[in-house]
Amino acid sequence: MLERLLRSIGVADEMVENISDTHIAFQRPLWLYALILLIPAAWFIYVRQKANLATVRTGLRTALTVTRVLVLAMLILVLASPVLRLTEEINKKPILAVVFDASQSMQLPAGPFETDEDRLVVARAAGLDIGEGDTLDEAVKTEIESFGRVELASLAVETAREEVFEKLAEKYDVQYFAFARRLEPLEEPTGKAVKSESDAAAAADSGVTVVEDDGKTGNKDPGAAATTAPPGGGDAVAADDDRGAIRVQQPNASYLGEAVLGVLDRAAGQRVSGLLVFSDGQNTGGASPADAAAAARAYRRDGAPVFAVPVGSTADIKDVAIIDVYTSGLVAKKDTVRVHATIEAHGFDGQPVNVELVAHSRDGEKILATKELVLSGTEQQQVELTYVAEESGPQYLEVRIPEHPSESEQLKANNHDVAYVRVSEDKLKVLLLDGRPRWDFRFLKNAMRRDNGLAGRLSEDDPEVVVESEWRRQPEAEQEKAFPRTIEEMAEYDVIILGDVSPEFLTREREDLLIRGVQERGVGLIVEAGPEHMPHSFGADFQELLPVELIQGQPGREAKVFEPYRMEVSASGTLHEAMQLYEDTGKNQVVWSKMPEYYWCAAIERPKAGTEVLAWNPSVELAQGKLPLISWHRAKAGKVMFIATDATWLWRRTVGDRYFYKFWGQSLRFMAPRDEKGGAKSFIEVRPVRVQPGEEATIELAAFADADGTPRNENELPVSIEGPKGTQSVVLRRDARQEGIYRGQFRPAEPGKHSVVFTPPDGDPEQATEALLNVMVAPEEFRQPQLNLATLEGLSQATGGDIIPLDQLGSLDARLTGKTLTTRRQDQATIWDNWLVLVVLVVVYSIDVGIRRLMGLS
Amino acid sequence: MIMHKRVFSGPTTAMLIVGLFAISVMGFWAETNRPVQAQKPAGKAATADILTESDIIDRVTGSLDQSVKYLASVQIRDGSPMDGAWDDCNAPNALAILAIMGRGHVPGRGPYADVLERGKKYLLRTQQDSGLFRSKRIPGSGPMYSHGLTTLCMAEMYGMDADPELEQGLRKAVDLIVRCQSAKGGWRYQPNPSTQDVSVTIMQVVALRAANNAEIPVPQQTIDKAVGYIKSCAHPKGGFGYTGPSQGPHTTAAGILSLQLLGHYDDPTVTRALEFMSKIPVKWARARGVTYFYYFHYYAIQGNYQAGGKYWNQWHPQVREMFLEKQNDNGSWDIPAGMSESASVVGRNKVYWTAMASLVLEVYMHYLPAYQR
Repeated sequence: MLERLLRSIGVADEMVENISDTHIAFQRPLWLYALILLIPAAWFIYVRQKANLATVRTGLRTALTVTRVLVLAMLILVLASPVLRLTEEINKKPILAVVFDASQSMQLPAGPFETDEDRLVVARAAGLDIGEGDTLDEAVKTEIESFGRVELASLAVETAREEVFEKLAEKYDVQYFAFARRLEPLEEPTGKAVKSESDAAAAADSGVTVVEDDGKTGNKDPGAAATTAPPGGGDAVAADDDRGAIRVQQPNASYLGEAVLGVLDRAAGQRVSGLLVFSDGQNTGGASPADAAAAARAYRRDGAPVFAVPVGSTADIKDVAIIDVYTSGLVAKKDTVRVHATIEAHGFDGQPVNVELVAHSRDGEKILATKELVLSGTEQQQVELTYVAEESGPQYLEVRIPEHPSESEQLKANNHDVAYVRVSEDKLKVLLLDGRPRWDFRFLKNAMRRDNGLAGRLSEDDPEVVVESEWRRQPEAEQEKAFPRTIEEMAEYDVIILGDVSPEFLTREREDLLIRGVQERGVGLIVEAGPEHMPHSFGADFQELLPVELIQGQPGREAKVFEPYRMEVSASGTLHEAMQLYEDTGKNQVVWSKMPEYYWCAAIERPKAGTEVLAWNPSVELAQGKLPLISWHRAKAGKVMFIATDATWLWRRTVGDRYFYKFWGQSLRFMAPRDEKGGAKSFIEVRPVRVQPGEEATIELAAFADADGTPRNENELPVSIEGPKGTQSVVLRRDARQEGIYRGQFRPAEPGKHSVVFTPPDGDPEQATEALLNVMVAPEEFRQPQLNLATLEGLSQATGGDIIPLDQLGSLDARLTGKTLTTRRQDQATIWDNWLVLVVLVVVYSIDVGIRRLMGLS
Repeated sequence: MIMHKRVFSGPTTAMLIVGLFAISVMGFWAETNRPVQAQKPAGKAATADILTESDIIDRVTGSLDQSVKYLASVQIRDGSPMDGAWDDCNAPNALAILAIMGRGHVPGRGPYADVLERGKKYLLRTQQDSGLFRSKRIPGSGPMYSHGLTTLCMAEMYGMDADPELEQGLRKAVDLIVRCQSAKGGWRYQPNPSTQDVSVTIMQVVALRAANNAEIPVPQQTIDKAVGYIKSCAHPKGGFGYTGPSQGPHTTAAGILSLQLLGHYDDPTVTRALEFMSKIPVKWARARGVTYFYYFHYYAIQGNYQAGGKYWNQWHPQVREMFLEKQNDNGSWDIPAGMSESASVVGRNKVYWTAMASLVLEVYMHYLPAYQR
């Protein structure tokens, strides 16, 4: 009754449930004294009515008097503002977060388990019937080895459901989560034991239900994505209800540190007694476990201890993996293509394997190079495979290591990878100029000389290189030859790299020639800044050529000794062909973000309109934002790139020319005026060439109608994509701005090699072409696939938690601290200003008026 | 061993030999100048054999940051005539500067700008009118080891430092080396063209090629004659000797690298020498005649890096882990017992040891232009 009354006066439902005491009070109690006046008022009303309504029966007259007095009384009470004083009692349970690792590596088998002691732990955790004693029969051992990691975690929670989790729920606010790259809340456990999608077939045999993701799109419904598995049935569950399933997420890297941070974030300051984390200890992205541990330790006053439940085995899992493939990306025809593969092996120490480089075409595959490698179990190894490029155009290459029978099925996927190179028909003519032999100059000139795709105006083998400090010492006749003397000579160059030369070298006359060469003849110009002269020693005409506005009269900006400048690749820079260190845009961004710090950059005020900034110096805040570090724009017929640092040599750290010259080599190709794709043969480019299931790849088709290079003009063209589970078609649409160029997107669902094939509508076999796309589950997940116990120990110990074996979940209760917190809160609800009072008032007054009307009284 | 008797007879000489030899290797690596480029084999890549594992990268860079800090902390900075030096011999001074630059610290910028500036000025103060860098303490055998090493150091600084005195001093030093080449193509302890040995020769060649990489002209004939002389010291069963064909571990390591840096990667003498060297165990102790510990390891890791493939894969993890493990808490290194580069030989020994160990680990940094393939 009281609850209904409270609700009727507007008290919230949640509050009503927690009300422990109520009493009435008045905000303006002095008005209550007016009730005393009601007595004479009632007498007065009665006397008046007796006189005026003498013919009316006494009972009726009294009733009319009462209604009027009641109305007056209610008005007085309203003026006194009655309120209901409420005492709310809130019992706040501390949070216990149960977090399940649902990443790709959790698909792997939980074993192999090396000792009976380990197997007993698993058997007890999974609730298997092991009889008396500590011995296991072979059937049980076989069953144990068949468990996947997610499945084992699910079974362990299910086994402990009644004895552990239901009791914990009485004292703690138990919240369930699953994570891979994202942390997602789980529904209340429904009693399922679940494996992952790719284990579907195996699951059928093992009697375990598998819940599959929406593999076709790679998108997962977050609501149905995950759930824990405290069982009702333990090892087999109806397949028509998947709401209680832990499912491997897509994309599926292990963001363990992020998961811990996510739980704390969601707790929003509420007491967290602990995080019970079921995981194999892999952390392949996001915040490090160390950072997460620091945050958990500092959470509120008491911290948030992590109790890690290791799932899996520390025994070495046999695997050979290609973890990285790298090519220079751009080579010239007849040049030697170099493909570098990084290989990691576990369990095959000392065994020789053949690493193969394979080209795929419509005619089949062709092995281009093979190299024997003796595998080392201690650290990564690199192999270089080479071949001579005989044809121009894009080429998709596969690097592979034969699968070994002892590798698990999931791990065989990392035995191959795809590399991409583009072979140009012609050599670019390049001139490199610098004031002094700076380190950038020294590394760049040698790298360019090794690049067989480059030549000079005067040499077919090497680009021309001039350093002003030596140029000054040459005879005048030689000095004259160092720089083009006519616009025709200038136009012979595709790209000129201009370093820190002085106005004595780049005279006004030469400067004008350079500007004309760029603006009128399309010569590409890369300007690398320098503290001596470039570009602040030059006038307005030269600076007009650049993609940035400069602070006049300032040679450059020096970083403070202990606050060096950083580099930040821009959003468009991540995708720009000059900045593509890796096909994988995420990896590309990470690599650029980790480039070494530097101490000097040009004094730029802002980028000009129309400039594309590829990288920023975020350490310098300008009026209009960050300082553009690498940028380019069009200068009429040509392109101009400005590099505001002179320390690209720093990018060589631990990798040599790999990033340094990939940037410079690609920049040269990008700045060159000619179209290197050239030719009149159709070709397809798929970028990136390696994606995860569910990620998007862009397909670009250059389609020619004939050998003369006539572009096709259909609005749409289909390409077929042959994947491991069949063929599908993707329609590409014509680019309105580029004749013969068609683009489309493809989002593969299944891992494995995909061939993207274009067959011309008219069936011309000469114009048929194909490309390769490698779809891999997060490869880093399988790099060291065994249980990483050290990570879990570090995380739990650093947060004041502990390792809890799978079969000892019952020990958790004793280790958790934090009691239910009871808080009392006073509140009040006004009584007079609600609809109930109004109704009573209206009803009483209506009774009075109604009686009078019915009786014909005035 | 003959080399021991003749070359390392005096403590100071030994110190210089070790330092200079090691440094010479770096310099050798430097050049990819046109004459050398013509001999560059197609199968050699500029980017093979990189360090990819982030935890190892972190350990190596952390170790080098510590060692550079240590070197900076023990530089003499008292305003005396020795201000900017680490030792009264130029060899460890040049080594210390190279080790700091090899971690990516260049003149005029960053936390070690002042250290490098003082070090450079000290070295320039030791230069004579003839161009010879003649330090206060001269090894018993002569000043050419120190000169080659100091020239290499100046060549690496040149270009990143606009100091005209530096350029002038470097050009004079290079001229002196060219003038002092013997008729057989080598150099010896004294600044005159009378005789030659492999150790001093490699040091001068490295300096010349570093200068040439900085576009300072060096006669091709000078380089070619030096290469011819080094090849004449190859042993038919693998290895290089000191003044003729032999199988000394130190000269083998140096000989391998010198020929690789000149583009002779696939030369049979190099292949045989690599096989010979691969059998020498890597350990923090005397092993198979390795008595000049730092000298050997400096050349050996560079030679294996240039060779790549199985030689590099098998060699560098052992060497890296050994040096990382043996680094002192203050960033310096000591030396295994029983080596010839003892404290009594190398003066302010921890400078020499630390600089050399740093240069070994800096094979992973790829910063000094002298080191590039």
